[in-house]
Amino acid sequence: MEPAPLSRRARVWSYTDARYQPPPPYVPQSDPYEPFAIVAAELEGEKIIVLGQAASGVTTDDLSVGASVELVVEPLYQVDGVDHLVWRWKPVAGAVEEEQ
Amino acid sequence: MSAEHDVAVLGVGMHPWGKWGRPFVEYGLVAARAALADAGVDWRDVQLVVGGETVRNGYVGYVSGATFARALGWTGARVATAYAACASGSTALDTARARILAGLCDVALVIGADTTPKGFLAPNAGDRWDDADWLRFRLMGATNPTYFGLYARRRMDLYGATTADFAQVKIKNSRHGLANPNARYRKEVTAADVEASPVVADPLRLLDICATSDGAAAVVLTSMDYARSRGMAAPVRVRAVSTVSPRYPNVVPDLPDIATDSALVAVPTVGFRQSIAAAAYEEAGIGPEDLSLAEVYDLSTALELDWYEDIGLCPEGQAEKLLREGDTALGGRVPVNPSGGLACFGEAVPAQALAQVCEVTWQLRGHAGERQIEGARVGITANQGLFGHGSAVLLSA
Repeated sequence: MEPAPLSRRARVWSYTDARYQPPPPYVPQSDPYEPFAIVAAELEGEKIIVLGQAASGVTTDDLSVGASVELVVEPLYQVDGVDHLVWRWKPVAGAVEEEQ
Repeated sequence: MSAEHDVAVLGVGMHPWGKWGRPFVEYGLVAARAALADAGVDWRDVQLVVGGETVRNGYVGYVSGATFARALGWTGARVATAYAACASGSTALDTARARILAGLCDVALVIGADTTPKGFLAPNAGDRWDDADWLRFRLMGATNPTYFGLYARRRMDLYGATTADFAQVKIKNSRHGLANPNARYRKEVTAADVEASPVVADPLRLLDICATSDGAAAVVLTSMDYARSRGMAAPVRVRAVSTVSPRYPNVVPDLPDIATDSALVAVPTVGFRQSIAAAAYEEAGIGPEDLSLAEVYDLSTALELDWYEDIGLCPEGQAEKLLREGDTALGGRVPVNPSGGLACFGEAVPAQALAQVCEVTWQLRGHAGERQIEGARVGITANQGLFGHGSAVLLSA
């Protein structure tokens, strides 16, 4: 199998959030807990829906079905002072109006 | 398929759903003895015991078939245990059915029981980077309600469903469950109650999402010949059991997956959830137009609406209309979840699919008391679980 780069751009298929702290193996990122949004987004080129947390600071108010998002990489948690990174979905500013 | 593939539901029994934290075996025994008494079958005449596995109660849960057989008293009966996530009960039932239809036994006892922890269902302890169920929690904090929230939002966007529609499902099921002695929640719920409950996974609130419960259900399944020999000329019959898996490409995010298959490949015209009931209809030669009732897996209120379409009660996008017109309430054209559903029970994973069969059986016998659907002839159960599992059981009077 050959590694193949996937689209970084995607369209929101649906979204939700996690108002209560998920149980382990989720590693809480703050104390007290702060809710985060979760996005299911369909990759533009490959038509694969990939779930991921929304980028830091993004709430469900910033999301809508069909809107454009792009992949960003952010810290998920720290182990011994080292950031462990994860993919996240971030709305593309102004993209909704342009592309619809 | 013809009547020669029918098996008889000779007895059904349940332990009420609740939250007591007692060993699951205790619940299972109560349900098993109730089913045996209902069937008029002595435990020593049971030739096969099939358990639905519970994964949250240690080794005795992994081998629940043997655990129940031992607790009832070793008789030398064959034992088997089935795990298929939420479809475990149906898979256990199908194992018993297949052995009966193969002529290898006449009397089987199928039991599912669970004791569940409080709060979100979560993976067992330990790091497993190759386990999709573990990964979705670790990398995204995606609980089961996360997926329910995604489906609910999608319904709102595609079909104009509203949170008021979702609340209406809860209100309907809470009314149905009022008269069910086995239901955990027997209290009428109002729109204001739903609105007052906290959001768990936007747009779903606490009262839109089913709880996790303790409970047990059992079914005595026999050959038609055995039923006749016991003087049961017209027992409730299992006409079909569907345990189909998804077809590639599966383009809807399913629990516990992080990604779907690519929709660039030709997508099947029938999605996974639709294919579950469709296979049961095809196997039995019975269609959704023949249904008197359905018991569907309302893990969330919004998901019950998806099921209306997936079991063929209405075309895609019409579920809200069906609900609003009262078609799926008791007294309506085809009541859905007359038992009160998971909304009133909460989920006891290995017991739940069997509990659905118990309710349909009582309805088809005319023994459902205040929630009886007059003249019920045909009923279907439907559910979906993790890792490509789903099931439907089609029964007729």
